[in-house]
Amino acid sequence: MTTLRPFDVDDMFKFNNVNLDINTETYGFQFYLHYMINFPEYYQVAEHPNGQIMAYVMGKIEGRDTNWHGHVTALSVGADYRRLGLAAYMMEYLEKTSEARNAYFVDLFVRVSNTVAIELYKKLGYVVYRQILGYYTGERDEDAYDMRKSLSRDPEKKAMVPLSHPVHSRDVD
Amino acid sequence: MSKAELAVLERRLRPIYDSLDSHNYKKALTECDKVLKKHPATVAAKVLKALGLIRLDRLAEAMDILDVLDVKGARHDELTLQAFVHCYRDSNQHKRVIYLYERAIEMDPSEQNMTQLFMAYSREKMYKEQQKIAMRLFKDVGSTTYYYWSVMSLFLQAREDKELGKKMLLPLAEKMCKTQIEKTNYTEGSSAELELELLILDGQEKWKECAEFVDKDRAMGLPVAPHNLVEKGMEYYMKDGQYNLAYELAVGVVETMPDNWNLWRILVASPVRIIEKMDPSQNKEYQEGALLLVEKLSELIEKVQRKSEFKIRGPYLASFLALKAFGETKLPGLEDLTPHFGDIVERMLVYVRNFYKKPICFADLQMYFGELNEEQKQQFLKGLTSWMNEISGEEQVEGDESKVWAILLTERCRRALGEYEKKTAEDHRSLFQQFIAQIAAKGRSEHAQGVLCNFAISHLWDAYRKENDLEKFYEMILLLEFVATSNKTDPLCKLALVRAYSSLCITGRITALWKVLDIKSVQNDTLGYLTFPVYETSGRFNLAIINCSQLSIMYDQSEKEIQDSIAQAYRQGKFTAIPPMTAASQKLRLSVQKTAAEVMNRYLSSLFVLEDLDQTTVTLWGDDDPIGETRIDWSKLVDNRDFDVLPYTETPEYEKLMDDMKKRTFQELIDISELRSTMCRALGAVGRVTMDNMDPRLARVQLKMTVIEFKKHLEYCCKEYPSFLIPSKLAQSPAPQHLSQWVHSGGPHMVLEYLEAAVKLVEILDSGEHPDVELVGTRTEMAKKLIKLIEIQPKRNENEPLPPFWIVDPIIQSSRALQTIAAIQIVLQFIEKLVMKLVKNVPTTAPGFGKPKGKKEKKVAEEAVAKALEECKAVIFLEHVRSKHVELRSAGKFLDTHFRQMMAYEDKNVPKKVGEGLGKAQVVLQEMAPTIESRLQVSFLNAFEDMHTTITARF
Repeated sequence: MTTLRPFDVDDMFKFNNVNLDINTETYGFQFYLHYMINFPEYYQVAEHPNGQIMAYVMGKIEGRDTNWHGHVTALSVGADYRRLGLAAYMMEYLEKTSEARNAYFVDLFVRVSNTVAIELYKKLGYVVYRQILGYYTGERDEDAYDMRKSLSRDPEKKAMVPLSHPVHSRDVD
Repeated sequence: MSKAELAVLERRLRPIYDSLDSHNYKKALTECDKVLKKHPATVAAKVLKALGLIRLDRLAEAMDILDVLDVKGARHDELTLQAFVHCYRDSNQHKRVIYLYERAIEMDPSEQNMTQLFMAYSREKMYKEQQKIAMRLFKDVGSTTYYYWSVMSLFLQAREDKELGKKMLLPLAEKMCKTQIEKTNYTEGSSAELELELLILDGQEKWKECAEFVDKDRAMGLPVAPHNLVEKGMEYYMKDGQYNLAYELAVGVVETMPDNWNLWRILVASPVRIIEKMDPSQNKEYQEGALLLVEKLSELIEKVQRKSEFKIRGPYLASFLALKAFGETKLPGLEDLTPHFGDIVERMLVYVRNFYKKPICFADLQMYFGELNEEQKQQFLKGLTSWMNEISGEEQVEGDESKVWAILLTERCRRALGEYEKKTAEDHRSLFQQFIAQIAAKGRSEHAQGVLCNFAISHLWDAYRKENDLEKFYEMILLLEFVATSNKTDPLCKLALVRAYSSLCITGRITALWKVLDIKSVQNDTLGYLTFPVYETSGRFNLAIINCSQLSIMYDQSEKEIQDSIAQAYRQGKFTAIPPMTAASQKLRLSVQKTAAEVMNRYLSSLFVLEDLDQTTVTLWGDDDPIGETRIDWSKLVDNRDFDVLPYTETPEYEKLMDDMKKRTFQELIDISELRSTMCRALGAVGRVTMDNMDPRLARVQLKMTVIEFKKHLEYCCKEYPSFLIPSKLAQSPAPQHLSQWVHSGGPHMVLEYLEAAVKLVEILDSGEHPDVELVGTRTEMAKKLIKLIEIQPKRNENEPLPPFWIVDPIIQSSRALQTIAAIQIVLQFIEKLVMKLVKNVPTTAPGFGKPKGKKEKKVAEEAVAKALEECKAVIFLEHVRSKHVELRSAGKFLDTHFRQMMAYEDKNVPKKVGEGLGKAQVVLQEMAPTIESRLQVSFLNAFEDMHTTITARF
């Protein structure tokens, strides 16, 4: 039982149960508000009937020509709300939104150590397109996988053909 | 200024900008001086110098520079204006940004300056003014963007004044919007007009029009996901009372979205509303109609349930929702809902069987426990036990944690339904032991481990809360540490540890856990209560100041980011985003945590860091009043604290305790901050009387007023927080403020005495008289009070060791005693300064000592001697005041001696017994104990070390 609704600024005052997760980064206001203003349809919150935030997804649409794609910036599910299929549900939602915007594919970056998430994305049809060296910096420096899934506008799944070598984060758009 | 000239200026100013950006403010001042030496007329450099001074906390000097430059008729370039804005923002003088740009547009009504003025008005919620400037922009520039800014300003005015909004402002906004769209049509690629139209309709509660609006094809241009738009439409129909239509729309999509809570809410609420509107006097018709609707819903739920085959929870929870909603309405003829929505107990047991593996299963059911009567509760628990017995025997594959979640669900339900209170202490102990075994089981997932531990410690918190059982409290710390040490992902144990340690002044571990939890940005506002004010109560003043400064930076940064985002939303015509961002900005500005941190920062910096008395005066007084900004309105502060991070599994009575705790701790945080603030203001007011740039009359009035304010608030706190009051012991409570301890320690009263003496002293000196030493009391009186203040050693019952954690109270008392000593030290320094500045009639020549001739001469000589003696009183008074510093220093040194004596006590700070009767678990906990004990000891030692450093440095 889930309410999927647009993100509200007020959610930032009560998203601790989701953001206290070790793999979820907490940013300043500008980051969240940028997505809320520019990509509201890509920024959805799943709410439990008891009022708690269960999960949220934030993303955007960007790129040019065949690189026109939906990007998953963050997908976080609160620990107590796992095993409900919420991540898959929200990813499907984001893919549909990108389909409606005529995108070629959807991509996302994930920590190479986050095996649970990587497996989930693979299950949802994503492939590791490339490894990005030194993508995550700060407390836990780490590489990222750029994972992709083609949408109906890319029937030959060209966007999903993996690169043979890793790239450095400074060379990524 | 031309673009080329601006570029030259920017290049010239670059070194200053770089120094400011790298927080090297002293270097920035040097760079400013360099520029000004070569180009003395560079106003931007002067303003940037003021900015450097502000960032070095030298506000008075900065204001001297700014006040000369920011005047009517002055024309400033863009860079200078930006520098002014930084100065005013950094010194919390936001209204001056408005005045700055109001003057700027008089000289140069450029689009840039008017836009800046619009944004400055927006920040201060001056919507009427921003509307005018938007219209002027529209007329001057001709862009419809500004026209819509004006319409949005009307909308925002209407939100502030609902009555005027409905009568006039919103209809006007609607008309303006319509006229403009007719003229220029909808802007391609923008949703500005659509957003405004819907906001205005919504604001006028024209629900029907709203529903029709979102139903139009054009509404697809709104930045809303299609499913959100459909749901929005249904909600509008509900608001408009078109329940049948909303119901039908929801029925149409529920089978494809059976887990959507919004749909079920509409599906249940709409028939309830229809029945409520029916006429009960038409008995037969009413009953038949109601029954029909209930049956229709019941069939729908059954149908969706059959289709979903327990893969999703929505349709099953819908039954509970329907039982609750129809049960609450108590409709005649529908008292028994069982035939329609099933028996609630049976339904709950079915739910348990099918969804127990989901960690959320308990929270789902908990929402409907209130619907069970006593008999039903027992039935449910009985059913739960037999189900648990059934699955206990089932085989389980490795890595499958289903049974753990079954155990957790069962025990959580038992506790939430009041079964725990009926059990004996032995039962609790035995269950605790089983839970520890589950926690330590091989291959246990980190999530399950965290939830198990969170539940296992519940009864330990109970024992601590209800019986002050410190052995159990320590046992809890050990268990939490056991899990937190190895479990990287679980935040619950770490948060619970922070909570426990905050009442024990264990600052070192709190800092480490906070870092591991990676608490950042807005989380410091919503979770700050877990640690604030533990560094202050532990006497670790430098850490407290750093902590408060970081909080202030976060609030300033957040405010800036929100305002920038609002500006961005205006520019892009994303009007829907503006009201919630404005509300968020307001929430942060009025956050009790923000105010508490700012006041604490001012208070501790003045007491323990600043050396220069003038600077101390400015800091104590604060930057919120002298320049005409509004002072803290304590009644308007808001509570952003998030208490949902530490879950609990309690009976409904606990909710009441939680509510009470939230209210009380919120008020205590306000009250203690107000006490600190009023003390700071009164202390600062004494200093202000001695300042040359102050209006003498105003300074005297302020002194009297602020001392009265402090006195009144102190009296209120003494009454509201009696000495026997102890901090809340709920597991979710914030770090204790210890206001009761403070106001009954004698410290604030001592400070008040000297403040009152200062008020009298000013009166005496103003009247040309000189003060007597009695005005500030004798040294003996002072010594007596100080001895009482520093009596921190715990009282010992003969031949008995001190209780566990005995050192915590002395740490808090020492910290507060040091604060008092420091505050008195400051007020005495101010008093000295007052005498030096205000004393009049100081003898300039010594009276003649020649033998007087005749009566007349004798009389003159006698008068001269008497006058000289009188004048000496001031000197004697000064000497007396100075001698009081000796008493303060002695008090500090005695306190230091007490620390050393206490650290040499043999009494342990932790309970001797650990994990009695827990079998193997006892061994595990005992193994943890030495490490934890030594960590605690280090924290206590650090608290005393820090206070020792403070004593050495300040007294």
